[in-house]
Amino acid sequence: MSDLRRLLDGDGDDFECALLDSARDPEEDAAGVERTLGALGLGGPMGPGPGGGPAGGSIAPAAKSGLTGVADWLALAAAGGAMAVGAAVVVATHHPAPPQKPAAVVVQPSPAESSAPAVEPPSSAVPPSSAVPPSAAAPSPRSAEPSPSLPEAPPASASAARAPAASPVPAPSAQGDESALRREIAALDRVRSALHRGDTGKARQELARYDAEFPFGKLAPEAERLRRRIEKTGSATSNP
Amino acid sequence: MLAHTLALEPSAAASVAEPTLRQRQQAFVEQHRGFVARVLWSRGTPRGHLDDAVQQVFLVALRQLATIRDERAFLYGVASRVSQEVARSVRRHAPSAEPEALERQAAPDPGGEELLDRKRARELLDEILESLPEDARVVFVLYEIEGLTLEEIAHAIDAPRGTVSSRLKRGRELFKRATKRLRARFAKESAR
Repeated sequence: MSDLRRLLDGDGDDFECALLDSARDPEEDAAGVERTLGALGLGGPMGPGPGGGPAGGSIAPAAKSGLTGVADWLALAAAGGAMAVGAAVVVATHHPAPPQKPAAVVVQPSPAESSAPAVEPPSSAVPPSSAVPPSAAAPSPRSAEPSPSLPEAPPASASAARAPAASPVPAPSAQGDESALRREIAALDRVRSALHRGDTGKARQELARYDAEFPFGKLAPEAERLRRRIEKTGSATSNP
Repeated sequence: MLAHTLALEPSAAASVAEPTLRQRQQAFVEQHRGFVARVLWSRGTPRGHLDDAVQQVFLVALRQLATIRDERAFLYGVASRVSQEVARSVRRHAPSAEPEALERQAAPDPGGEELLDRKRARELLDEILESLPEDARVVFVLYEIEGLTLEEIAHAIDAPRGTVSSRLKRGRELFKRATKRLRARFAKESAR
């Protein structure tokens, strides 16, 4: 018996796809990865190697309709409301990713990892502030045989790692990033709008512009998703 | 606070030849962080506790990195246990607070008119998924959002494939019913 076709792969309508699509926000995923890496003491440049690509590299499954479905419904419900996708710019500006603090986490690899370079033991440890006691995480032995104990010095909570440490005034480079992000969002909004109108030609054109302007854009996963939607929509139009 | 890295850099020559432990760990976190967060959430971890819970999961996983065979099944197992502990801890520390109140307390202020439609869509999705029974919700999230196959889910949650399939069908049915209700609600609001 084969698997059912996924809602996002065509079994759901626009509204359902838009809702499901919202679960995988590339920006939020990337920010989450940064927070986790920072909290684990793994922050900083990746350098060459597997996974050295953009943060949050996992790409969402192809969405049939992106967010336009929800936007339609919301617009219907709140006529005249300020629900434009462009609001992302405002939100991104007013809710920047929290600053990272140097990590204070001690993770020692299991014996199997001990062939890797040694880890210098800490001289002090930060008391845990996480809501999760260390005993929580004895994992299932089915996939691997995890050791029963957790790190002796539990980490500072991720929230602690996010404690404010930076000046509220964004540095010039941060402002530049925001501006670039704003332009990226606007560029992808144009692609979405064209797609929403059913104008795949225009959507392709706008996406090509985005590619040219942001070859290493932060929203590259979202651009990829839109590309797949364009292809899907294009092929559906040409092969009814 | 003690800044501490997980591994020392080997020689430059070695780092060209193969990724360092640190790079493997970074790549592992990058690859699976979203999955872990969504599993935790689908198992009932409030959004305000997600970062801490994710960190706990990776603390365990990174220590076992070399021995993990099926990464997602392993992470699912750890995340399930962490989510149970979080739930217990939340109940212990805030016995009088309702889960919804905790959620609201943990969630950042949406910022009035700066509401983003993606954010709104996420809220609606949360609302719908929260209404699903946990067993159906977990399968639904793993299948529809994470893109796992039924076989992979069966392995991850240690349940027969038929059970997974029936939970998915139930989850879908409830999801569709809920989206239908939402549509009706929007239509009603727009008619006012």
